[in-house]
Amino acid sequence: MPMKRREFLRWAGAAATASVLASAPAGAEPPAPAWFEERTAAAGITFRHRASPNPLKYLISTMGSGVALFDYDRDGRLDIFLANGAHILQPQPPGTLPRKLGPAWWNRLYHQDARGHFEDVTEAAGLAGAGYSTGVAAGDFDNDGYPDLYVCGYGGNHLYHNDGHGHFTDVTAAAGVAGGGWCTSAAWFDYDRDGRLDLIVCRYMEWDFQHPRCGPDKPGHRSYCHPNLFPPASLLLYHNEGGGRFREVAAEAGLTKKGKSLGVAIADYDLDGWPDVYITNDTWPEFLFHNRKNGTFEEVALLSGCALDGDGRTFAGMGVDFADYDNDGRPDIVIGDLGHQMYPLYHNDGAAGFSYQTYSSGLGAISARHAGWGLRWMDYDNDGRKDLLVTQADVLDTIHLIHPDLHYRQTMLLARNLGQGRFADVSARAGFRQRWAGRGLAIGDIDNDGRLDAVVTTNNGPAHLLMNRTPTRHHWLRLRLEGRRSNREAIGARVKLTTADGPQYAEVTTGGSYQSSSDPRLHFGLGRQALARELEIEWPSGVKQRLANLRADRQLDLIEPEGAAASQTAAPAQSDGDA
Amino acid sequence: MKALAKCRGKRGRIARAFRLGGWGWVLFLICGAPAAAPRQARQPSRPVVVSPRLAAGIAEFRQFHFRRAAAAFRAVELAHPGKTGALLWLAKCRINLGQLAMAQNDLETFLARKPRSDDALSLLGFVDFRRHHPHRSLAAYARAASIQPPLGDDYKIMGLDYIALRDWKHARRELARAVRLEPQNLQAQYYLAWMQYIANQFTPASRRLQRLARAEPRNLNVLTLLGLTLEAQSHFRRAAAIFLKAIALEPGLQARNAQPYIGYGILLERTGHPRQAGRQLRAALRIKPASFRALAHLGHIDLMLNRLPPAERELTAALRLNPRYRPAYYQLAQVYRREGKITQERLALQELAKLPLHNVPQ
Repeated sequence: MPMKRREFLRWAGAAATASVLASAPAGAEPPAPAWFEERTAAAGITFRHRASPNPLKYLISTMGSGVALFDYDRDGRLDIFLANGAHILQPQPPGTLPRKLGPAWWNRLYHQDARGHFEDVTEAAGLAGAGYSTGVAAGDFDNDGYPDLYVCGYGGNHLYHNDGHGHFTDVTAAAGVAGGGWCTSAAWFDYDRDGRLDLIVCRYMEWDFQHPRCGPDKPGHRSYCHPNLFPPASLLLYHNEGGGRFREVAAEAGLTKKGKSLGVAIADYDLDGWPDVYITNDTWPEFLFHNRKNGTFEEVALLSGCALDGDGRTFAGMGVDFADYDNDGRPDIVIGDLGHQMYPLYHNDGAAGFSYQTYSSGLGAISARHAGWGLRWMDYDNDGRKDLLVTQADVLDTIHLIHPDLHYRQTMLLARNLGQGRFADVSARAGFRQRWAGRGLAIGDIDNDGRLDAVVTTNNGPAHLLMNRTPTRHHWLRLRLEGRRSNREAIGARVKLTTADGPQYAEVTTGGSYQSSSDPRLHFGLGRQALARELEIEWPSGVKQRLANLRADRQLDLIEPEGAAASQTAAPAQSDGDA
Repeated sequence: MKALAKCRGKRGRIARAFRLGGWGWVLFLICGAPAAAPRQARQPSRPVVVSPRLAAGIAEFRQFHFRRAAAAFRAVELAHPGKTGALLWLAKCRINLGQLAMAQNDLETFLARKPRSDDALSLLGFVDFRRHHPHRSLAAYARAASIQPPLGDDYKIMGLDYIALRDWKHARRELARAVRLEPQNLQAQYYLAWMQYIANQFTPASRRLQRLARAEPRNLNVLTLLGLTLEAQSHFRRAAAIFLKAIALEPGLQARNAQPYIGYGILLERTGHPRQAGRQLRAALRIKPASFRALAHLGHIDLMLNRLPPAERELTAALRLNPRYRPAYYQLAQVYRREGKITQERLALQELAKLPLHNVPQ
């Protein structure tokens, strides 16, 4: 029987769409090199996270810990701080807190020497810590040139002042930043642009060790409780008063909404010169706090289109990054969440707010069967487009009993930015084949070779040092900014770098990811361009600086100029770190 | 269409919470599934009077000549009131003829005479189920079960009663019992798979549906649910293959079915192919113009493609059809924001806030 015309058309349509899905870029691997080499043991890192899981399934023992990549001794090489858990009793009696019973539970500081070897200097640095540590945020709160550490935990946080001689002093009490409850992530930023770094602290929930039994009533099926069982908690905002003292101002600054916050990232999303705050919440609407330039914030996530997923639903918001992935000058938001939820990607459309691009970017299909924790935009191959690196694992170690298609341990995800808003999964090609219970992630150029590396933490497991060995001839430029009127680390400085291929944008931050703190230096991949035509810096103080014709493949150390505006056409004051 | 009309009332009660964005699928899944047939495994109560007319009626019944059978049973009952099982047979005919109220009367009359007839009680439970009285239906089945252990079909109907009551736990329990007793009961298998799907038990649901699809390879509803289940597990390519198989079968059906097109359209939307998704959803709307789900997803796609006037039109139309469809309010608010219609945006968000907040399940 001859095929009718309408039938033919319908079949033709179906076949066309079938071929679309079969050849979908989402999930397909383009011919792009990527390689990350695990160097943990070879580099001397022996850290192992102690979560203290026990049959009572205390939620905190699956939430993992964070990592900081920072140069605490200013030798030009990144060092590593790793937060650790504590011993949890079975059961943990009411009114008591887990304790670090010995070195196995200590937080750890590793100093990197000139050969790329890491030495454990925890004891000398005085950073063994106390209690159950979770997140970490590095920032130079007293502008002495040496980055300090804020370590989050359950039942109290700690601020460690870096004395510049390899030792840190616990100044929590004097600074007034102990907090309380269950702190997860924290970030340093200068929200009132007074030149001193302030601190925002996420608190997960009103949770304690007296929670009910959760999961099926069968042996081996007890599971960690769902966040819906616990009331939300408030954020903490510490204003830096100077003189080593802080004042908690969350309520007066308008951060009154309670949430179930796990991640925080800072960026000036509306380009008004004032840093804004994005908070991820677990099974709760996400928050976007718009800086009103008068010391207060307004929560605008729902009205801006970045509070819920594309269907208006909440999800398990965990790690987050807030940076411009498509080089349009406006910072975008990407979030890690649980399997079958797909990682939310919100594109910043300017005045129109944010649009949910998870589906159209291909990131949805890539992430649908994964759970993302620490994540950061990073241009791993220096092609000028920011890619996405994600630590992955489910929150439940029993997830396979509920969803046999999901796994507790998962591989890392490297999503390559193909341009035009599309991403492709190149994880296997990058060497990410081992499954870990990934949690924290920090990014930085650890060996200063012009390629961004990463450190990953796993829950109740080892940390992983992942050195980027991607073979590439692409050029790059790294900036280390030093504020004068602005805060010393220039956190919040906005940079526009222009090559013959077009502009790129970045903001200085150590925040983002999950419970972690990354290298504050800015890294730009320049692709085939060996020259940056122009570099424009807007320092947090408002000073604008312009540099021209900058040779690639090196680090520029730039100091904030005096005066309202500065322009240089020659090379900057100093440079080092040439590859 | 007749089957659709039959289940319309029940849908309204069932249709609520559903994983991936609402219960709208329930409507088609229940409607589209094979209609629940009256029980037939059990023999009728033994007649006190043996009548040749009764035997003739039974013969007609077994040949599906329900009107003629009903006339015969009516005559027997008139001739020997309460002395035969004719009234029970008459009720069965009426159930098959869709005369549910009359069937109920017959059964209640029969039960007044024989209160311990488990057969009549079970039939009454079935009629109550069909008449959307799940509590009464369950009570009737419970009385029947106190006399005689239920059959697989009885458990199936009890499961559907619990679905109507949104008692998922008991629904799953009863359907599982039905399947245990009668593994060949494909309807029970289908409904159990569906319950597993909405309970996010995707792996057992897809296994069951794959078995069903092998047994009934041309059953569009089984294929569509299998596609949805695979998609929920993020097996996108396998889901696409199943949807395409269903789409290939669909034109050959007597009654057109939009669901495979909708399922495939949503899959394409979620995997980043909005234009191709739009084509499938438009195909669905040609079959079923009042599909709020197809309209809503088409609106979302137009929003993604920044085609704001059609997006507004489609989302508004979807909400007219289903004012409780939360995603459409959210997406409509985004359309309004992009159009600079701030007042309408706020109103849409206010409507959104009135509906219970849904979390994307893991």
